[in-house]
Amino acid sequence: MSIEGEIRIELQCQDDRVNQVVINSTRPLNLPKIFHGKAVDELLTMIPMLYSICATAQSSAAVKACRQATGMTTDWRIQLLEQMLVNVETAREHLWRIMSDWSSHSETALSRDHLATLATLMSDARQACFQQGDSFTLQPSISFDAAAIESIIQRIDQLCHEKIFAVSPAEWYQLEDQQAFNRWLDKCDTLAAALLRDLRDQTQSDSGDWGVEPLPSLDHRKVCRRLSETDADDFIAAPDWQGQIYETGPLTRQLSHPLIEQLMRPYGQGVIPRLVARLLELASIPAKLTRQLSRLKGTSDSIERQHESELSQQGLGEVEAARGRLFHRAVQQDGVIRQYQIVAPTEWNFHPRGVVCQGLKSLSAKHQKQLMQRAQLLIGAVDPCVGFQLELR
Amino acid sequence: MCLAIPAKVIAIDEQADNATVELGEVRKAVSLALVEDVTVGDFVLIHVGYALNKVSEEEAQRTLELFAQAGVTP
Repeated sequence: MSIEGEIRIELQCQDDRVNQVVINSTRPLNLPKIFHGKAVDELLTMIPMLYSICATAQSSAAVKACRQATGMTTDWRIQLLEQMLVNVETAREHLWRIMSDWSSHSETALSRDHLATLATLMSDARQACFQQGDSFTLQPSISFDAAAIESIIQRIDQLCHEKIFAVSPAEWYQLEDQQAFNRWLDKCDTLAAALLRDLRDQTQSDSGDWGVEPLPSLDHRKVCRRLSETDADDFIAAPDWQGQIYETGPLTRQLSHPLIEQLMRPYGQGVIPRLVARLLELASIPAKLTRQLSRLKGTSDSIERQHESELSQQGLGEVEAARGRLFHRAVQQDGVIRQYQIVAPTEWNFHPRGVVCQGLKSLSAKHQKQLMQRAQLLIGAVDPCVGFQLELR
Repeated sequence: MCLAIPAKVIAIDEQADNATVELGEVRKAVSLALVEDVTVGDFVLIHVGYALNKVSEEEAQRTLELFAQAGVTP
């Protein structure tokens, strides 16, 4: 079953140090060409079916691109509700990966009840935010159920509290120095604490500056211009920006948090700051959703916002998905898609010279088995979702 | 970004909490740790060794048709 493709990573080693890293991808990046010639509405139906991992972020980027390409206006509340759904999805993705991938480090068994809570979270959130069932269509109606949204937020908060932090996520987000973080690690026995305690207590060699900067804010007109060039497929497969390789993901979004600043001193861009950044992002989501819900309830004025019209018949949707920044570009004529492209965070992070490559080059170990374990941990810390084959040579 | 593929469950090992799924002529074992109430004959979305959630047979067929249109098949 190779539809989803995979990333092949070859580590060329000498004396249990990595000398060279070769990354090749068989991911089907041309898939969006299937949308060419389709009606805009049809595309919006197809996107979550094809891209069912992070389907909400994908749908959000798609609907932004299509609205802009068709010159549509959108009520600010629709945009806010869509952003809230992306935030719920980010929480679900982080919770899912932590609860499934980190469980081997804890004696805490995976609970079916908790997993069931996660399994229905997105469908319940969509229903709460768009009661007419028209989420991520071009012109959905404003029909949210504030009490149901509040209940979704409580579910996320409770799950985070019970399974991840052992304190409220808001309280955990206030951990601002390494001593407080260490105290939490030492007294807590959740999945997250168990893994991080293991890592802290091992001598890790994957620290240091990997030399990859966070993806800066990009000018949409320039991104559209780059994607309209003849070698756009090369850009989509291995993106750089003006010759520079960048990283995008939870760590780059949490760089300004004091705890990350402190943890990066001893651990650089290594595994520990990356996992903690994911936890911080997760911890921030219930409060963020609560603020967004307050905004929704706070005013009933309908404010229309006109999209920029500088990009005639084309639109660029940008979304911060759980794994990093995602771009969709749509070009349409008379409601029919002429060109459709997706630039995914995976391609920035798994660029042949990108952050995974640089991180792997920093690895060393006592023996090959340990090197493989560290490499797998590092790759999962950058992106826990991508299927990959790892080979040592 | 990542894709998940719909596949039909043809056998379940309850003790190991995994299932054998079938897509075309390919069979594969996947974990059922993340999904509840799966029975033989169900369609599930699979990704990196996990069944993520159940989908209807109709939705599974439509999704597979889309993949086929795009020229990506198992």
